[in-house]
Amino acid sequence: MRRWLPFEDVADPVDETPSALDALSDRDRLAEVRKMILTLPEKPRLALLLAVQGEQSNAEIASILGVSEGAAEQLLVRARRRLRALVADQEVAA
Amino acid sequence: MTREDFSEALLSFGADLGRWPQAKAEAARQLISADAVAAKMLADFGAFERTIAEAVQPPPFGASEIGAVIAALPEAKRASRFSPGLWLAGAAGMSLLSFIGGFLMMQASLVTQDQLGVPLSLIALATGNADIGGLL
Repeated sequence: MRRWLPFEDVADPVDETPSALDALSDRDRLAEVRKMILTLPEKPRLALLLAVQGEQSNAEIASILGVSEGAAEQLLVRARRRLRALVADQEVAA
Repeated sequence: MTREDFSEALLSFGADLGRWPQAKAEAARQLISADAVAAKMLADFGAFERTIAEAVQPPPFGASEIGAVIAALPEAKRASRFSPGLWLAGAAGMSLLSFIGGFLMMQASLVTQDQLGVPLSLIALATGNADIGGLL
């Protein structure tokens, strides 16, 4: 005679892997960061993209944008400071 | 270096101390080895930069702007970069040279009737390749 185990009494196993919903929320978060980057003024945005995406040094960024190295640093400071504040606001709101 | 100096330098040079000016990087390393708050500032800024880097990948985001800027670089700066068009042109040139060389060698190796000393029609007759109009 077959004997049935009482499965309903057993707790569901916990799945530790990130769910599709988690991944979606990550994508949403990054999409928000992309929008924030687009709100930056053109020169600070270009300086930031050259630093992050182009992996250019501050001196190279200065040369490409046709500004002094000090001015390039200030563009990066403005971009990173503004973006960090926006990201912090987003994390507080979330 | 104070924490405020460190915070400003992070904004100027980013979280990778290897890209900082040497003297500032050394001062920053001393600070973060002695100050847990400064070490956390560096870790947090690193996480912030990774978020930005993830946000701007894959390349289509901002690629047109960066492409326009890179295209405006002086030729000497771009010369060292890999150029698929240049490689294709080189390959095509080599193929053409090989073809011309092969053609010339084939021409040089052809035997003319003068060099044979006998009419080609006799050779054709001897090898059974001549059309003799059913005379035999």
